[in-house]
Amino acid sequence: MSTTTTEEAQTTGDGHDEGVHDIVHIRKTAMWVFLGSEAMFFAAMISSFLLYRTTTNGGPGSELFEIPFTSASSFVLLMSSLTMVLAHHSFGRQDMRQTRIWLVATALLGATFLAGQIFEFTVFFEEGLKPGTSPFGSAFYMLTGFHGIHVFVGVLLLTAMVILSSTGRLKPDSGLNVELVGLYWHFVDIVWIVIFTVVYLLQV
Amino acid sequence: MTVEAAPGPAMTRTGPKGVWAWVTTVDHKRIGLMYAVSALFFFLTGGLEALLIRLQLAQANGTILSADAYNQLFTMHGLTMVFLVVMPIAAGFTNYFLPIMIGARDVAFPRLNAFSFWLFLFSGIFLASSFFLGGAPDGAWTGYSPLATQVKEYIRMDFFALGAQMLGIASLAAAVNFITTVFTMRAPGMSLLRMPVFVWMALVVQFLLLFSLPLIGIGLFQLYFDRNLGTVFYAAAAGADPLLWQHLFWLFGHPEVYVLILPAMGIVSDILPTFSRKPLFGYSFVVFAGIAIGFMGFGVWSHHMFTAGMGPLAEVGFGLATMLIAIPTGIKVFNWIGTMWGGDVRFDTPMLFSVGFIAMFVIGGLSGVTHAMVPSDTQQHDSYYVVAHFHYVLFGGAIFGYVAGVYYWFGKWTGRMMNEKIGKWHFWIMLLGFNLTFAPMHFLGLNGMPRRTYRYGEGLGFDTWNLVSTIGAFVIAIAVLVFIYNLVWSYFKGDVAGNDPWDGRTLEWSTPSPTPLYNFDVVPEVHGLDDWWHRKYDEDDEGRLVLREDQPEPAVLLEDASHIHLPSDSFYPVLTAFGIVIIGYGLLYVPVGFWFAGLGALVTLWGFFGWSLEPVAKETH
Amino acid sequence: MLDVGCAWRWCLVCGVAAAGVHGALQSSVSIGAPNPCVVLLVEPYIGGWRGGPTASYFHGTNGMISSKGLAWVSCRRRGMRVPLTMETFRRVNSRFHTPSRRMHPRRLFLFTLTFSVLVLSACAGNGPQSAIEPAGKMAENIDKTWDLVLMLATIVFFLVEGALVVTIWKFRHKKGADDVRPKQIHGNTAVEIAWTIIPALILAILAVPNVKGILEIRTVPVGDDVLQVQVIGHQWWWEFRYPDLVDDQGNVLVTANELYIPEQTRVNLSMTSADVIHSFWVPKLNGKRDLVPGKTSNLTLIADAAQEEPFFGQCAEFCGLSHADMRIKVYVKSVADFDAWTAAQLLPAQIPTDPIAKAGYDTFVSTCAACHAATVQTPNGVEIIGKPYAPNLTHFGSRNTFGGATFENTTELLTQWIHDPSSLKPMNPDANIIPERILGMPSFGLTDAAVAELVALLEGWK
Repeated sequence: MSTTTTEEAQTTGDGHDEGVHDIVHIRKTAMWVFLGSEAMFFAAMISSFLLYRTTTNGGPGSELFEIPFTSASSFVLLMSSLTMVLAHHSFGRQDMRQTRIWLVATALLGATFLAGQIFEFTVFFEEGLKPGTSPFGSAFYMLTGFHGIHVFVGVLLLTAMVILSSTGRLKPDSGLNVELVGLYWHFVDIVWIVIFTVVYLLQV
Repeated sequence: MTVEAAPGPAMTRTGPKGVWAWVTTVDHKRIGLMYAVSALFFFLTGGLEALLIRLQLAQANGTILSADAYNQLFTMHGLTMVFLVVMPIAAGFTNYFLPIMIGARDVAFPRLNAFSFWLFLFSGIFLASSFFLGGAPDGAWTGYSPLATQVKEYIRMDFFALGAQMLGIASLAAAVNFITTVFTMRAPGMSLLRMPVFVWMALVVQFLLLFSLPLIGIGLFQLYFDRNLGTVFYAAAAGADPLLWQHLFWLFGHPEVYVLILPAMGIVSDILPTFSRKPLFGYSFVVFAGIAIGFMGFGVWSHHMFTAGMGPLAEVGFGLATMLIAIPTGIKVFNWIGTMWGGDVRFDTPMLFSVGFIAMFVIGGLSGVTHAMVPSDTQQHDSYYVVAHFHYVLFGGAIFGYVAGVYYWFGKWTGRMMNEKIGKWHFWIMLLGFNLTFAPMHFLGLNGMPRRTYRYGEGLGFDTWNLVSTIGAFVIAIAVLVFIYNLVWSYFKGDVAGNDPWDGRTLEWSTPSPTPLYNFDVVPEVHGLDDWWHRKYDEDDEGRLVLREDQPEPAVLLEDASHIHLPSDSFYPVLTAFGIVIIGYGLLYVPVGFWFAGLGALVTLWGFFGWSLEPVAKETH
Repeated sequence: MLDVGCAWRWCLVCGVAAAGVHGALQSSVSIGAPNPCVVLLVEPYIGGWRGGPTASYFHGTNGMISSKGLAWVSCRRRGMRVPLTMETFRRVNSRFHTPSRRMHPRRLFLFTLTFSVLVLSACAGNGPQSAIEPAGKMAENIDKTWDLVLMLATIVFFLVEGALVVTIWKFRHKKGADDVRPKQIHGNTAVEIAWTIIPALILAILAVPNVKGILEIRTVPVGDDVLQVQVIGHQWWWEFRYPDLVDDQGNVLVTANELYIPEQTRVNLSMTSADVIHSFWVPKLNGKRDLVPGKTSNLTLIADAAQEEPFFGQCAEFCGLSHADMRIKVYVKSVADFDAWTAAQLLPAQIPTDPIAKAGYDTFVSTCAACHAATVQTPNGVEIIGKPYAPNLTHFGSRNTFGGATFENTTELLTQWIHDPSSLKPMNPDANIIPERILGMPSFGLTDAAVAELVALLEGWK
């Protein structure tokens, strides 16, 4: 038998092929299961925000939101899902150069979104909305902040994959896998669509 | 039982020896055993807390504990018993037996599994260490805000917020792991509806954890942020709604109740057929009832809040939904009785505890129905009646079920059987002590005694039953000592178990005892429910049991198992878990502790990187 | 301390259940057959509520079980009240069901055993804080739902545990019988459906009174005859304000820990909290209801009759260090006595003329008034002196208890309290941030003489 360098237990006995489990399938299942949990994580924060959407405690509320600006950054994030699909597609064709280009593009778009969010937070801070100002502020910063952290983790994963692929260590069965990171990235995008709708659009 | 114990000395545990081998192990069986031993250790601390509580309440105006000490002890008793005893003992059984029962050699992610265990253990120690670092959490295990956010100067409730959060991460990782294992690692032929009921119940539990832990996670973050970063999620003065915490807590807390009881139900569902020598009555109904309980568990959380002021409409809805949950629970109980009906029922200790489980659980279930009557619940809520109710469910139910599991599987774990005679003493003392302790609490509650009170006055009619209850608690303590004596005695001197001492039905009994590292020398091919049983027995024309002529070859320990590839031991899971708990300690002391937390983050990163760069199975030959 | 009332109650429950199990066992667990006992129990109950045809046959006083906890079924047949004993039960029951076999001695023993245990333990409803010996209309309504669910649960308990006991006895492995080859039964869909539907039906019986009960206890009473009381929970004492009872200056009647209400009058408590969540619970008058900061909740009290002894209650939601010592006493008075109490409470306190008490008054103004308030007749007229962060002391001397209705209002205890409150009741005044967070009364290190002066003042403020 060959050396098993993959993450999971290779539970094969000699001549018993039925014991071999499809590593990619196992990891993908686990990712879907994990995302199910993540969905509840965001659901709890979105519910908290909905409860407090008008509880501004005399401080600023949703009138702070600059819909055109946030729409633009949301569009950037949505586009990153497209580039992620393209990266996955190129990876399927084993075109590593194309894959790298699209991964870098995705990471850059993600970083642009994050920059926009940091800018937005700065403006809100200056206008008097802080996490301790009101339950509205607490819930807003927690929800968008945790989403930002998820985007940040995604950018880190994308960067790691770019580095791995340039040294030729990015394989279909490796732990850090374009398909898995893609699943995660799309999930984070979809969550943002919900947040954008619930937090920004419904307020107006 | 019928199958004679195999002659000769007990087989020894395979695999590397020594402390380091256990610290770095990724073997699901060793991890399972470590869960079980840790749970036993925490059970003793939680029990000690309970004894102190009972001593304080033995008479009116007790003076053994101060109010402050009492509040810490009852809070920690709850946290310990729920998070550090019942959940990990269930995790222990799940770890050890779930992969074997579905014919797998390990879980899907063995190192993640080790990480879950170590993070659980470190978080448990983290919580327990609070006693020595300025006081344990003192806001009840429910941690209701704004009480939990009121005094920010003391870090007691930060221990609660961070400890529960870390335990949640550990359980979440385990949930992802087990769900993936069940869906991807089953042996050929092991369809979902051929899985033992225990596996099914464990699976439902993992889904409950998967979907409920993030909710309490958010609540705990909010609690921590309110206490340390100046947010106002629960500050009524800023217009916040304190009920938000209750909703988030019970959205987790109610499924959690089923997390605690369902694995015990699974164990009992596997023990009853073995000792009745009959298949489980209505297997698919039992399984679907379990799934139904899981689903409904998410729709009844507000029945913990009938006095909180949700409005009559919500109370009607949640009251009726709560009643409905009695139906699948009843189905399980009836099917268990149906399993024994017409059987050849043998009362070895595992069976005694299983029948005790049913008898006690029925009482707890029925008192549960009385809570679903909302008007009646406004009297019972937060009184000792509720304390009686959940101890009947979680002690008379869950703990009895898990003890049954220990007696049932001890031979598989250690190669030696538990002592039957001591076991029977254990059962009867435990049953007596349990009822002596908790039955009087029904009367105390109906008599108007609220829970979480460190003293009560004279003349309220609480004295007699409190004294009885305290006496009962010490009877339970005796039972626990008998149990520990039995564990130790049996570990060294018990009868040799052999592969299949109870004439079992499920796949773990086809393996040698203790189970070798590789579980199966040949991955089994499964042809039906209770596959191992059907390799031994047939039914004749009347449907009666007959021994097959072609009995399966008993599995023996392979002398050379090097052709079976298993994941290698790894130091990184324990390192990563250690890093996380360092972060936890750092976050207690805001803001200076952030430096310490940063150190912990570095350790965690080191663990993660080592983990992902390390090959899973090193070349062994 | 065997209470005859509850013994009766358990007799009824156990007798019915035993007979039910007995009947069921005789027909070899024919669960589907209509059980006369269930009919017997449920019919009068529902009939009594709906006033249907059965109501004239079995007419419960307040349902089936009277408010005093006596297990009477008053069969108002020809105007007679017949206590339901086993004898009458058997007589009535025989109308439905002819006993065919005598109860097996072993079974009889089992039931007697359980029965005795239950009777012995039936003293639950025997205390001044009992939830199942109601003395007010709301608690009586709640108690009805409890009685119903208790009876059904007890029947189910005996049926299920009985079936369990019979099964393990009947099918136990007998010594030497090693050739037993049980029939391998995998299940039975019809049986499964039966034991899904039957519990559902039992639950349906409970659903109606459940919904009805919720609507009853959650209805806020309205009308001119309703006495309004504001309840504010504090760590760890109760503030009661009567917004409609005001003196000439418009000052509202304020008191602490001891609530006075007139008998047979609807009292609406509007409750909120000043700090953390509390729960108001006086079991004999009503179930509990939480007091949540930032919200107002309602609880209705309608006491049956005036009595000398107070009704006991206490906070039922864990509220911190002294949760156990946050108790309530409710005094139910006749309407005339209540009016007299009101008039007395609305009078201002006087500045004492006695020099000792006068010195105490000066200490009150300089020290206590930082948190405590009192309505005082001063030379400038009636004034409220002090802050409302702690119990109002205007009529402290008229109260029977203090410190969250936990301590008798005696000179000795009061002296100890003023010296060092935390020696009596666990509190955490070191963490006080007045007024945002008050966690108890500190010790002010007053001299013995100063304490005695204050005691004299407070005891004089009747």
